[in-house]
Amino acid sequence: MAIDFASVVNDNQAMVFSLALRFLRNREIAEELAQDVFLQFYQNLGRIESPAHATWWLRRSVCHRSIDEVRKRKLRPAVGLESAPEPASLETPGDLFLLSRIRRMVQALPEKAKAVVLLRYQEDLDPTEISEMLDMPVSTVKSHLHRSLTLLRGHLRKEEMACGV
Amino acid sequence: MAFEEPVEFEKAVKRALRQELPPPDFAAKVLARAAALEAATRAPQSGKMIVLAVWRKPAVWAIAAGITLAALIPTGISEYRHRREHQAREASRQLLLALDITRLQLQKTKQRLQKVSKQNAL
Repeated sequence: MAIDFASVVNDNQAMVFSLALRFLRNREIAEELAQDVFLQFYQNLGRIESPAHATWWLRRSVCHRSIDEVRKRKLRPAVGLESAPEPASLETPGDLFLLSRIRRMVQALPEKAKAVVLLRYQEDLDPTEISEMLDMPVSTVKSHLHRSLTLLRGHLRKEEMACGV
Repeated sequence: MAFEEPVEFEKAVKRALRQELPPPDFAAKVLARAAALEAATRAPQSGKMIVLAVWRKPAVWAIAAGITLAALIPTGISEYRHRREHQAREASRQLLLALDITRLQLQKTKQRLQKVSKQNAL
């Protein structure tokens, strides 16, 4: 089955860019890494069997490359996602503030835990798919998810109590 | 705002982590880079690159070794033959010289003998 590279780019650009951005917290670096992922994909185009395989390949590649890049650069929250434009939505200002806080807290998670949370809630993958993508046991994926959600909820509660919400 | 239900909180996380669109020219940039990559791959290789690529093949090394041996073996055989002929000629020359010296010695001895015989006859 012939894969049209332009269609693959068009269909997956938001996914690849978003994952890179959530990991790297910098739009320019994320864009560069996302482009590199697509170019690497282009060089492997002959091995891709279907559009679903293309999405799987890109998702896996951007996760692993982003984790490597974060480790290489030892990124700390320099430019937060708050500086990035919010996704177009019909949220109320209160909701936008809450969602922004959640994003900030997700950013602060350790890289593997962050990858699990992003694949679960941004990409809507189930734990089995995540375990295959990140080469980790399903039980570890579930454990990361449980601990991360508990941690996020805990932080949110603390912030709300501190602000008297 | 606190989430009493984990499901509600998960929904909020999902909303917070919605995909973001890349810059509008992102796809165009990717396609341009891919086209440049393709052009670089398909461009005719320079002479140097072709030579380097050719020498990476073991078969080429085997052929080159064969040609070198084919050129060296006849030269070696010819050199060997030439040396042996020279040695033979030298041996022959020395033999002839030795025979000549012997002939002269014999001639001198014969002359002396003839001289002594004449004196004895007188």
